[in-house]
Amino acid sequence: MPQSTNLDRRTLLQLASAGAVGSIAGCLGGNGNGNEDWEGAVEGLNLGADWRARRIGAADDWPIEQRRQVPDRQNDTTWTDSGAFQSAAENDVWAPPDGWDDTAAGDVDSITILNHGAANMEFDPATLAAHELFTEQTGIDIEVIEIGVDQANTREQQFLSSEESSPHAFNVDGILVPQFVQQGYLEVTDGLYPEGSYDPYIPALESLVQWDLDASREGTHTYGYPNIGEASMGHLRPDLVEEQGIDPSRFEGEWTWDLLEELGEAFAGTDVNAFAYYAGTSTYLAYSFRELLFQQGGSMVQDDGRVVMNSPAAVRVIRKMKEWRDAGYVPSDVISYGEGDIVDLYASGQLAYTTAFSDFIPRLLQQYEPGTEYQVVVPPAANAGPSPTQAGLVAPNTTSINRFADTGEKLAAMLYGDLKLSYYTQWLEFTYEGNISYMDQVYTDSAENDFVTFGDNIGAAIENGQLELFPQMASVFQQMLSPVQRALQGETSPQAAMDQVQDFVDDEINN
Amino acid sequence: MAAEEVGQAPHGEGVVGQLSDWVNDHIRTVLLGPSLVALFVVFIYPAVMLMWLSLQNTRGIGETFEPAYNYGRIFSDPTFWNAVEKTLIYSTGSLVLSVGAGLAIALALNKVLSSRVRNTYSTLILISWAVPLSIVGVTWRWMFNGQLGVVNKVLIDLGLLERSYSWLGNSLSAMLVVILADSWSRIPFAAVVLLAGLQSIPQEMYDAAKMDGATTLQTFRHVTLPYLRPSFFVAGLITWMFAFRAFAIPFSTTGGGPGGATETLAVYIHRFGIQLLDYGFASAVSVFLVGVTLIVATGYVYFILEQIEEIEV
Repeated sequence: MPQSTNLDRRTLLQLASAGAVGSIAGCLGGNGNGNEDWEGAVEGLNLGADWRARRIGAADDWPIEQRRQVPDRQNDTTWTDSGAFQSAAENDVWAPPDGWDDTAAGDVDSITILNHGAANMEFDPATLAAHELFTEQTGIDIEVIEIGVDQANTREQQFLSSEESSPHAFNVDGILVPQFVQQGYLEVTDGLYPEGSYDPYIPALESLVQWDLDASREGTHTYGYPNIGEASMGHLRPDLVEEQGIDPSRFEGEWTWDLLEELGEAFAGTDVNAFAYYAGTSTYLAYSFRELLFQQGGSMVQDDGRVVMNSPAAVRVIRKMKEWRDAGYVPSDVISYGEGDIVDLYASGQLAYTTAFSDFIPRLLQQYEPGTEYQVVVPPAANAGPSPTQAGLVAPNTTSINRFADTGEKLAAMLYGDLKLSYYTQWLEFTYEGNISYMDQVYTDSAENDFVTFGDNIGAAIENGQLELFPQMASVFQQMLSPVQRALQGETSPQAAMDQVQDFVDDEINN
Repeated sequence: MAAEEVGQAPHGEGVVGQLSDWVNDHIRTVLLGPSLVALFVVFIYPAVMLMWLSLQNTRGIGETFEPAYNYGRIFSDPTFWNAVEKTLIYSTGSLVLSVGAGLAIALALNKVLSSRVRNTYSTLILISWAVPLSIVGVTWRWMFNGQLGVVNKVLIDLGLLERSYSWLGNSLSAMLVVILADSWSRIPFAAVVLLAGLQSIPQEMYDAAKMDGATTLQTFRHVTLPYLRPSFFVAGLITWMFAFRAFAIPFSTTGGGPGGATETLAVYIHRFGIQLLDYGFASAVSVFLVGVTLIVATGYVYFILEQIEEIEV
């Protein structure tokens, strides 16, 4: 056999070495900037200058009538031909700060954002509107990686732990934000929040983005900007309630669990259940648990920072859940309810009242007559607990910047954050998509101009929405599911179930 | 003697010829190489990584090499033993029901004289085997939904139930539902294997039994069952192995609940590995699961071989 046909061992080793070096270089990505370099680069963007005028003030020039000219959700796949978008661009409803293109962001052609919560941008139209205005005003394209939230969480852990430089920004489920901050994965975004900049927004924003957990940085910093958020609200069937002899107007304004239990009594033995809660998956149990806890005025994080899951209020949540299930106020199947179950039950006319997120409203408005068959109400207060208050839940997520991305792309992602904090984005999130607006003024303007059905009650429910986050929250609720389900079946007591959860919390978080 | 005369290709000219010569000279590498690489990539490397990860403490931030840590946790965690217990109940229940029902179907099909009709039925029963397991789980979840499920509606309409029963909200009935769903999806496999076994039994054996005046039950016991034993073992082993590692059906039907009542080992691994991101511990449990499956399967195969030898003797 001719020598020339043999694989040359030296060549092979050279190729392997080159491949290995290339692989290592690829894995390392494009990081390396220190904290000071980053802070200096952000200062160059000058995001603090005229932030109020750029983000909010310019919206006065956005005519209400043209805001109504939104795309047809069934047919249009872009905002660029709509009157709402064109007038926003013409009137500079949002514009980047002067001189931004003299920074490294000026050399960036596109950034990649991992967008989760919608498998397709078609189902995330307000975010699409932000992307298109961003490209219009800066010339920077946004490439979107679309992925479902369950896969996204795992995938984000993977690319962040291997310090990959792309995607440059990504959505982070609110419950995971403190964990990612603690792990040092998220870039600081303090430049987006100059002094006084929280004033126009609901308090949940500050709770969501501001943390003192990052081991690589001293003090409190911010780690992202709002992407979308949902808030829970009460959904009532006035016609069904009235059939059982209860005046539906009692659910307007102040009401408590007493009325909820009265509803339960009234519907006992009928084909319709009074209400329901989730206890079938950890994610959904977490929604119901927190809602019932906040309605008592309870909390999980104590003043000293300790996480307490077996407080009297927390145990009362489980006790009430069991009591309501045993009494037949809620379906026995709540113990297996997860995503979609309560919504389907309500939509099929088998529930008189439930709490659910605001994105449920458009579907119900298509099905029921507003006012007589369907009403949005503010969720109740508890009839016991440290400080009963009418409360719902805010479930937000952020867009955060990948700390391992290159500076230019990170600065471009900061500019995009400025847009996400603007009136333009918040207006479309609320009025077009049914998500919450982090900006208070949006509720006032939409109510004055009659943009949203039940706008007043929705606004009130959102303002009553509470948010409490702590590291490893998702793990805690994972550990909580099984003991709580056993408690609901009577196999263990509510106190013992929550003590078991507390043991885990003490091991993993409080130590 | 020319190379052609002994069946060897002549050394070629140019790149193609040299490549051809290289392939001829390394034919074993060329034929086996891709398979070995594929085997390494899809089996050996993941298996080694699994074992390596099982020796890491992955709780909290980063990984540290602590060989005994995860294995120590396995044996001290009461929820692990709950998962082992549920896995044994689940796999045994599925095995008994699927092989039992598969035998009944196979016996019925074996009595069908027309091969066309028999083949049509054999194909039809395979439909449930073709449905993806996660779809089976979701479908059964809906069927047994307390408020909207068809099962409660039928039972109430028949007067067998007074009001809706929460099948998935009760530990015992939830386990029953997932076992039924699992065995439903595995019945066709057992039926087809057992039908093949039934058709391989010599007709003379039945004729001889008939001549001796054996009843149907005696024929079944002394002719059919002994001949069917190898098929039973094959169907049983494969069904059990799949059921022992079952994830899709319990996860999509009950998520392992209520209260861990249907949490099989695979669902338990998913909880720690994917939901709690504790890869090290999940890997250690996976090693345990694979180890048990291998031990049982190896013992079972030896047992089957002995049985086959007995029959042949």
